[in-house]
Amino acid sequence: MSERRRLLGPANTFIPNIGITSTTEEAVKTRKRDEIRKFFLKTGLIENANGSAYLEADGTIVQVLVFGPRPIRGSFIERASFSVECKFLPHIAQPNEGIFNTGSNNNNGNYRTGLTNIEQKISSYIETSLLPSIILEKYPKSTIDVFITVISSDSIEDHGGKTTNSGLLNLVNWVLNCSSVALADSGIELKDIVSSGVVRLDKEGIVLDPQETGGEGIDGLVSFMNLRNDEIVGFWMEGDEDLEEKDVERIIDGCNTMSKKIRANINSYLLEQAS
Amino acid sequence: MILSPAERSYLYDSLIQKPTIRPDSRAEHQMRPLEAKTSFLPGSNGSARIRLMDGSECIVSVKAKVVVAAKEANLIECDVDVVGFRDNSNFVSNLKFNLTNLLQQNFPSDYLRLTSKYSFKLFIDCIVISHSSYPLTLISLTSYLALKTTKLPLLVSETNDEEIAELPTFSDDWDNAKPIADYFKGKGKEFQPPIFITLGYVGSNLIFDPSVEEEQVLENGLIVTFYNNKVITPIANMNLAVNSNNSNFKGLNQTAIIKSIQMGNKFGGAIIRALDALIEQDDDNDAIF
Repeated sequence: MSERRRLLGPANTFIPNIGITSTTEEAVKTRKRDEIRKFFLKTGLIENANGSAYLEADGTIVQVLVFGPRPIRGSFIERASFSVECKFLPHIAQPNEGIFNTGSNNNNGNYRTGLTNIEQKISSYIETSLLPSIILEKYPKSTIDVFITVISSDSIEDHGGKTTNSGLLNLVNWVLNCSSVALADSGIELKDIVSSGVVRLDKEGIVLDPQETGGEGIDGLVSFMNLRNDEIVGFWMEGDEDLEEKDVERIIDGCNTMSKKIRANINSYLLEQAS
Repeated sequence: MILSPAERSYLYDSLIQKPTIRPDSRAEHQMRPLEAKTSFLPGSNGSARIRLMDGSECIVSVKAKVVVAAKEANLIECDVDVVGFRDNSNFVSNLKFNLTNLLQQNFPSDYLRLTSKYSFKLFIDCIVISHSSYPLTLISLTSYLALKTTKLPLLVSETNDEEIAELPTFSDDWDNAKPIADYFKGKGKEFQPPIFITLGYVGSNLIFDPSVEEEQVLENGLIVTFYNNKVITPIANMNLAVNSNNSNFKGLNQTAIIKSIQMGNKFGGAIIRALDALIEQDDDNDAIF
């Protein structure tokens, strides 16, 4: 097991090829309403973390590091304490930052001292959703820390002149899936791998993994433990339309479908890793 | 941790009963009693204070400013300050995010428009002086009262400034100021700011407005929005017991989420009516202590 008390620089450092730009044109793909984006997933890229995962889905790139269980000093605790910190790289535009990150005193010009409101909200959602899946009782007197870096984000925040949180929910969906794979990679004991889905309910019905939607509608992000009777561990709905109970049912079912698709991909990846 | 293992187990066992047995003998849909005072800050357009029986206290002030509408990303800006927490802590940032999101999504800010160019911008400042349970409902109820009693000065200049550039001028007499509600009347709409209702999930029961002790044993928490007499988005789940080592915390099921919306639809109106009654009963006596 690697050194757990200090954060050392990675052993497998290499210098990136700076200055080489890719000239490939972005192909305009149209997906079916019930089709989700293809995503690239890789675990264990960072050697000095206990677990790590890297995920790419079109322009959304997320990296998650898991450190833990690390011993803590001081008083005895029965169960591990769990914390999540999500950061965007400084040049990445955060979804709707003009609205949510105003007046925060941690943005003084070139550097910032803490997380922005959007980063804090994402951190909380991930923490709430992953908390029920981790068997914290197995790790007394220790901490488990998850560090998320959003390397690139292609979230769309404007739908026909009205700002929505659709892009934020879509980003959080990929962050969550990546984080649960990183937790699995760390070898920390889990009840189940959490996976999630994001849908948009508009006049024509449910769209899985919405990217380019316009007009009114309700967005939903629901995270599940699919092997534990589809237990809902994370739930977040946004939108501007009237809300009926049957709409909520449809959104949860849609998210469940997407979550199971992603879970199947994660499962086959992890099986491949194990063999 | 504020409860011993025996206390936790006792409290949990009583909360999961059908019907639920709460330590203060409240029904599942009952909020804690509160005391409110409105319009007491002379320097603000609207203000309100709510105090709960356990000593929780929140003051909200609403101030209006004339801005060029095209230059503003949003016409409502919220700030939350919680005594004892850093402004950029996760706790305060989340409260602020939730409140901003609530008003951004559901407050019809078009009605704040003064002329074709200028508009009012509302600054909502919330200070939580003391709290024990998760203060989001407390903050949103106080801002409901503050917004409901906010008065904006009467515009005396022309509303059409497309051809002649003119700065808006207002009546000098504060007695002519109109409550925000009056700006809505002409449009055939009732002014009712959105509120958050906090629900705790335990066993298969949902309880409104959980107290700090109840939060320690909850299996999950839900935040639902109530606006224009029905439940609307944003709705989210969260761990209400902040900084606690809550070993009961687990997932929800679909039935619980649907039930939370049904309960919100059923009992949310009563909360709004109670708050409106509070505003009517509030005497003009300036003593606030």
